[in-house]
Amino acid sequence: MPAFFEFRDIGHQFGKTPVVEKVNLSLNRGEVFSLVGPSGCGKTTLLRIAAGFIQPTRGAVLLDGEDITALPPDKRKINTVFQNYALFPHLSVFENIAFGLRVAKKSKTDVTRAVGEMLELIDLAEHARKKPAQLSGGQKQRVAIARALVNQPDLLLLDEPLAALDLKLRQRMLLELDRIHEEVGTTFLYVTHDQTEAMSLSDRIGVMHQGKLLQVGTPAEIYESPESSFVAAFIGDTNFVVGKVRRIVDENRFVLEAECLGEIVVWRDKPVAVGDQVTVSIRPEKFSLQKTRPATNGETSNSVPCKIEEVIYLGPQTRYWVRSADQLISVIQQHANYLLDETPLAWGDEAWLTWRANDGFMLNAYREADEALLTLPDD
Amino acid sequence: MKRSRFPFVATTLILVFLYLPILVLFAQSFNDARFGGSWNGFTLKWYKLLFEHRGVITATENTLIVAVTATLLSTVLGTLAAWALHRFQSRMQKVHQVLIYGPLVVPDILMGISLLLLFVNLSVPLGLGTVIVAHSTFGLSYVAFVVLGRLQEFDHSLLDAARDLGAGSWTTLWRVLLPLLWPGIAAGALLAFTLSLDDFVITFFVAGPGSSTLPVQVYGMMKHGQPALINALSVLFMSATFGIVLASQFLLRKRYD
Amino acid sequence: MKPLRSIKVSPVHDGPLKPGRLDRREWALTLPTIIWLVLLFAVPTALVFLIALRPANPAGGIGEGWTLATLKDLMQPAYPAIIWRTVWLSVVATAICLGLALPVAYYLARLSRRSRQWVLLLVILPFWSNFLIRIFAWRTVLHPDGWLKQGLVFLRLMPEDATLLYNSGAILLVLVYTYLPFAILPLYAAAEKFDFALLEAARDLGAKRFRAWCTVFLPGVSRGLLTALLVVLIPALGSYAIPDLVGGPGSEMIGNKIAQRVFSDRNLPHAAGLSALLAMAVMVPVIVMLLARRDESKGGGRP
Repeated sequence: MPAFFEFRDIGHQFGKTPVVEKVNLSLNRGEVFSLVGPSGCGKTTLLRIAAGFIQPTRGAVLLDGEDITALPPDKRKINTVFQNYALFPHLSVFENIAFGLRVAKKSKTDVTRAVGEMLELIDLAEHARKKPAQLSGGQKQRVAIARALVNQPDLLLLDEPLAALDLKLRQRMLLELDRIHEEVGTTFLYVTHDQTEAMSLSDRIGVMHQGKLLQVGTPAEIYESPESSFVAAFIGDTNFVVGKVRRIVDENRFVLEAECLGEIVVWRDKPVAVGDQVTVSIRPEKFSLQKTRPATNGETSNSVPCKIEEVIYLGPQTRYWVRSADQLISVIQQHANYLLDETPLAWGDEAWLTWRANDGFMLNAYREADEALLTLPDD
Repeated sequence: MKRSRFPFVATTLILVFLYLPILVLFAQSFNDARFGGSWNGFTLKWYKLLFEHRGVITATENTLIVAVTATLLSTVLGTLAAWALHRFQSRMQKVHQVLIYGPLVVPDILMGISLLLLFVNLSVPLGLGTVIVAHSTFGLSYVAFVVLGRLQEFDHSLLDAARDLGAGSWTTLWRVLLPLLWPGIAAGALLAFTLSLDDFVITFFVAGPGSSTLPVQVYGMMKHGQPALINALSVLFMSATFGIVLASQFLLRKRYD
Repeated sequence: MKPLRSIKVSPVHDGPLKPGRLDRREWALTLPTIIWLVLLFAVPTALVFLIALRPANPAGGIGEGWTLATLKDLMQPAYPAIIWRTVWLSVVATAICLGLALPVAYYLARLSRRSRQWVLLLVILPFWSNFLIRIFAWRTVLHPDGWLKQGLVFLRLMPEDATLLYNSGAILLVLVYTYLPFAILPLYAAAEKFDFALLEAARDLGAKRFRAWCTVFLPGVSRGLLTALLVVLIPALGSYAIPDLVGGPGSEMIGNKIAQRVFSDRNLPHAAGLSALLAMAVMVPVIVMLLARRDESKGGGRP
C-alpha cells in the first residue's frame, strides 16, 4: 500500500544555494506530524513544496500514491494555515471561511451549512460578521484553521501557526488544536521551531537541520534516543561526554575512557570495538546530586565527585552547573520539599554526581558546533 | 518640562498666512466693487456673468474631457506599472523606475517645452489630443507612486492564501487583489484627476487654438483684466477641488487594520 | 513504480524573481509604461538638448542643419543676470520655506493623533486649490487698490507711490506661499518618526531648549530636510507663472524667458537652449542629494 502522503527524494535550491536536500518522508493518514528545526533549516520550504507554492528542483510529492508535484496550489486537496493568518481583511469571518467553497462554486445552502459547522467547531459563531481586524490573535488563528479545514483537505499544513501568540495563549491553542484534530481527523503537517510545541502535539516528529531531515520518530524516541548531537541538543537539553572505548564489559555495557570524567560505564546500544571514538549524550534530569558519596554499583552506574558552580532555582526544579575535572555538566533536580531539605546544595559545595549506565545514549554523529545549542550558565 | 509655545504660535501664524488670500478671494467674489478697495455691497452678479461667458463654458468642457480621459489612461498605465515595479526586480525595472520618477522631479516648464518640441518635430497638430497625452504622462507617474505606496504594505501571503484555497489567478485578482488595492488605485486616480484640473504650465505649452482648459482661460482673463469674474470662477473651482480632495483623503484613510 | 510527472503546468513563482530573469508577464506589464515614457518623456527631454543646436526657422519652427548660434546667444550679458536672479530667488524662497516648515512639522508631530489629522488637512488644503488661483489671490491682496496697500499707507508704513506688486519681493512672497506645503509634508513625515524622548534626554543632560532642538531634532529629521529642499528648490527654479503674474520687467526668471522665446519670438531653438540650461541647473541639487543618500546608506552617516 502506498503511503498516504510522501516526499520522495526532494531537493530544492534557491539560485545555487541548496535549501532542502534529499528529503524522504511518508505521512500516515490522520496523524499529526511536526517538522522542527531552527529558522532557515528548510522546513518552511518543504511545507511550501507540499502546498505547491514552490516547485522542487528535484524529487516528487505524492498524495495517495498520485504524483502532484506539478499541480498548482489551487488544484491540490491540501490547505494551509499561514504563519500570520493571512486572513482577507476585506471579508468578514464568515466570508473568509466561505472563500474556498465559493471559489469551488458550492451551492448557497452547502456554504451556509459548512461554514456554520466550522464556526461551531472553532466556537466563534457569534463573531461571524466581524472583520478580522476586530478579532484577537487567538480568534484569528482559529478562523485561519477553519478557513482551511472547511474545504475538507486531505492534508492540512500549519506554518508556525502559534508563533505570533504569547506564551499562555500558545498553550491554550495547543490544546485547541489537539481537540480540533481529534474532531476532524485530518492529517496535519505542522512546522515549528519550538520543540515543546512539536512534542506536545505530534504523533511523530521530524528534526531538520541545514536542509536535511536528520531523524524521524515519536516524541519519546526523539528525546530518549537522539541519533546525532544536533537532535540531542535541539530537542531538550543535554550533556555530551566524549571519549574512547577502553574495554567491553559484556554485551550490554562497555567502559569509556572519557576525556574529562575518567573511566565510566556506558550502555552499549550500538556495536562498538575497543579504541572507537564515542560520544554519549546524558540528559540533565538523569543525574542525581548528593552531598555524600553514594554506595553505587560500579558495574551498572557511575559516580564522580564534582563542585557546584551555579545554582538556579526554577520553582518545580533546580538547575545546577557542576564541574567535574574539566567538564561543565548541566544537572536538573526535582524537589518535593525544597525548603524543608536540611541544607540545599549551594554554590561552591563539593558533591557527588551519580547516573546509571543506561541513562546515557550513544550518538551516531557528533559535531562540536552543536555544543552551542546547549543551555549555558550565562544564558 | 514645560513645552515651548513657539511652534504653536508659528503654526497659527502660518495657517493665517495660508488662508488669508483665499478668504479675501471668497469675499471679493461677492463684492459689488470691481476692485478690492471698498465693499460696495453683496452681489451675485459675477457668478451670473460667469455662467454667460462663452470662453469659460468651452474651457470647462475641455477641462473635463481632458481630465477624465487622462485619468483613465494614467490610472490603467500607472497601476500596471506599480504592480510591475513591485513584483519584479530585474534590471528592466530599474530603468522603469527612473522613467516613472522622472516626470515627478522635472519642473513643469521643462516638461511643457520638451513635449512641445516633440509635437512640433513630429508635426502633430496641437489640440485636446496633445493636452490629454501630456496630462496622462505626468498622471501615470503619480498614480504609480500612490499605488506603489499601497502595495508596499500589502500582505503577499493573502495571494498565497487565495491560491491555496483553490482560486486561480483571475479569481485571486478579482476577489482579493483588486478589492484590497482599489482604495489606493482610486486615490491615485483622484490625484491624477485633480492634477489634470490644476495644470496650467504644461497645458499652456501643448494646447492649440480652441483647446484651452480652465487654467489657461483663467490665465488669459488675468492678463486681460476681468478680475471680478476670476474671483467667482476661483471660488467655484476651488470648491470643486476641495470636494475631490476630501473624498480622496477619506479613501486613503480607509484601511483594514 | 508508475511513471511520474504526468501533469504539465506552468511553474509557480515564489517571491520576487531574481534579477536578470525576464518573463513574459513582466514584459506585458512593463512595456506599456516604458514605451509611453520613453516616447513622451525621455525622447522629448533629449530633444531639448538636440534642438538647442538647430537653427531657428523664420516661420516659428525648427530649421535644417546644425548651429552653435544659440549657445553663443546665451553668452550675452543679459542672461547671466537672469540666471543669477532665478537661482537666488529660488534659494532664498527655499530657505524661508524650510525655516517656516520646521516649527509647523514639529508642532504637528507632537499633536495627538486625532487633532493632528485635522491640522494636517488644514495645512495641505490650500495647496490643492488651483495654482493660478493662489497667485491671483495674492494679486488681489497686493493690488494697488487693495486693502493691504491702503492699510499700510494709512498706517504710514509705506509711501503712497510705492507698489507691493511687480517686483522681486512679490515673487519671493508668492513662491514661499506656493511651495510651503511642499516643504511641510516631508518634514512632517520625518518628524513623525522622530523619537521625542531624545529631546528630553538632551535637556536632561543639560542642553538648553534651543540647543537641544538644533543638535538633536534637526539631525533627526535631516532626511526630511533634504527631501523638502528638493521639492521646493526644483519647481522654484522652473517657475514661470509666478514671475509672469506678480513680477515686473526687472524681475524675470529663466521660465519667463523660455515662454517668451516660444510664444512671442517664436524661436524654439533658443527656448530649447534656455531649457537645457534650466535642466542642468535642476540636476545639480538632484545629484547632490543622490550623493548624500549614498553616503548615508554606506553607513557612518546620520540616522
